[in-house]
Amino acid sequence: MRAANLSFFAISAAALVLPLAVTNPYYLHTAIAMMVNAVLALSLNFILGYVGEKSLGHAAFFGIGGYTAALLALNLGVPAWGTLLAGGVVSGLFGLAVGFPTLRLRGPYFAIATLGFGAILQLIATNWTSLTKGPMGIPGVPPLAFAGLIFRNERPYYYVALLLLALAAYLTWRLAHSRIGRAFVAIRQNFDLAESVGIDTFRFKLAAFVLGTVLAGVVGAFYAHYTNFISPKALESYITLNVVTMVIIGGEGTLIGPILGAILVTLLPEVLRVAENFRLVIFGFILLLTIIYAPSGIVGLARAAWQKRGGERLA
Amino acid sequence: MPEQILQVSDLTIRFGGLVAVDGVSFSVPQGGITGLIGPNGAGKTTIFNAVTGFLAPTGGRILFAGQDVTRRKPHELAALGLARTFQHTSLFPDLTVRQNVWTAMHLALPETFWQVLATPPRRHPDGEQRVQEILDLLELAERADQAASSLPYGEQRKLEIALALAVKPRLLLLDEPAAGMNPEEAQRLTETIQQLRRLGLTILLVEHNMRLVMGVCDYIHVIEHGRKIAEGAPSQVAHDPKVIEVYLGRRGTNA
Ligand SMILES: Nc1ncnc2c1ncn2[C@@H]1O[C@H](COP(=O)(O)OP(=O)(O)O)[C@@H](O)[C@H]1O
Ligand SMILES: [Mg+2]
Repeated sequence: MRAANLSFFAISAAALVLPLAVTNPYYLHTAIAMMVNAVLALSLNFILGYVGEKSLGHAAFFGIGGYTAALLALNLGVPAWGTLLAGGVVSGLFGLAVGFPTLRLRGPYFAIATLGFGAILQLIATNWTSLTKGPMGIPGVPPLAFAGLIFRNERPYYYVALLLLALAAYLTWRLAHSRIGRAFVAIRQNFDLAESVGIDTFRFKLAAFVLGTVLAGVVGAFYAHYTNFISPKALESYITLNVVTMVIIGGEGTLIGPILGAILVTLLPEVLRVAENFRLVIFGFILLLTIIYAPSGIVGLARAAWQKRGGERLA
Repeated sequence: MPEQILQVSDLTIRFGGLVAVDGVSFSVPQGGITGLIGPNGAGKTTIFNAVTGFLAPTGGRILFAGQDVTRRKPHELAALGLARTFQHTSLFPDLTVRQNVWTAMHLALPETFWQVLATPPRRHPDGEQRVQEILDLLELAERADQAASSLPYGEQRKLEIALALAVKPRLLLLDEPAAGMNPEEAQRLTETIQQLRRLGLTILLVEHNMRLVMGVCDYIHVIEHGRKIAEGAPSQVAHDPKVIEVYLGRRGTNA
């Protein structure tokens, strides 16, 4: 516990001072992308990791947040920050609409519904040109600003992303150690038993899903402001695959796992420098290997190694 | 006559063409242990599933503590004080024994979303004490930090009872708790069930181990092919010709 606290403070401190030491915008951009991915992974982790329901359209909620922010800012002049909130609310309402009818059913309905929802939203974003400007996307999403200061370079965005990540991590940590998190895990571990000890499985599944979609919407809105742009690419299914990969290779149903997964999935293409199409193949392959050989992800492997080494001392 | 905690009337359950339960009526008085016995496939588990809300009955009515609870959901029934174990071992396998019981204390520890997020983490001394009591009662305290899936079979079955007790049941339904146990484990389970009775619990017991059933039950209902064929005190039922025929007429049923 001590060691964990210490490393937590060390990492937080490092994250806080990093932009002061690193000025290369490319590195800062990579760090922001990493944190956005980590928030997305944590947002999917509630339903996919803790509760264990296959949510296969997560990019759609990221995209809804982005489009909501872009449209509100450009068409109605809603100030930034308000747009982040709105991105979360609108995305959460869509989450509610998808989850409410499907999460009460057992079987693959929810997985199919989320998959279908992702595909439909991508079609809408591409084809409803009067609203979304179609495949070209919406340029000119205004930057974020604070106290009259307009965010023009990476550094302030870095801190906003860090704040969002801290928020997502806090939510995960507190829920995981509460009755609510225990209910999530109970549903994943044994649905019938969860019901029979009094857990309203439908309510908790819906809560986990909607919470995740709100968070995905907020970070989607943030990303639209940061890149000043949103297009149907934000809703593409390969983004969903990326996020699912992060959660699973890191370790589903843990706090650290999805963050580690996000770091890996963000860095790997930068390191490998391969064509985008090939990345998909590589991610698919890694995902498959993980599911077969390390179903609890990196965190699971680390735990097993730790127990092997220190099992005697712990007991 | 003591108050009836559970009243099942004319319960019928069909699976497609198969009538698994055919107009069964019985009631369970407050306090004591009622047995529900019958050969494999008689419909006992199906009755349990209907009573606990896992199955919607085709017909009939279920009253729990005087309230019509037919077609309620399992978690709603748990909140009313109805707890069960399952015929096939059913635990939260990757959680430790203590975490299993904590999780099953769900109803006893109400905590809203906002409380969780907006107030500092807090302990629940009452809850912790209750978990410990349950672990002690079922002699699982020494196993508290082991994963449920790593327990020997007999203790897994006891943990299931522990989880049901965490619900604070007014009626506890046990579905073949001794199934697969060796005689020694079954004997200890019998003692545990006797102890639960002394604590004032009301139990509805499905069990094939006749020594256990005859030893602990106050009253027994016998089901065959989805129909009730006999009822009475253990000694009465044991001498009922219809029951003897059902059980002895089938070679090999160890019941
Ligand atoms: N979900 C189901 N679908 C179809 N048939 C079922 C189902 N559950 C039980 N049955 C059938 O109902 C009958 C009663 O089964 P069950 O209640 O498990 O018997 P018991 O618990 O007395 O051994 C059996 O014939 C069984 O095959
Ligand atoms: Mg059965």
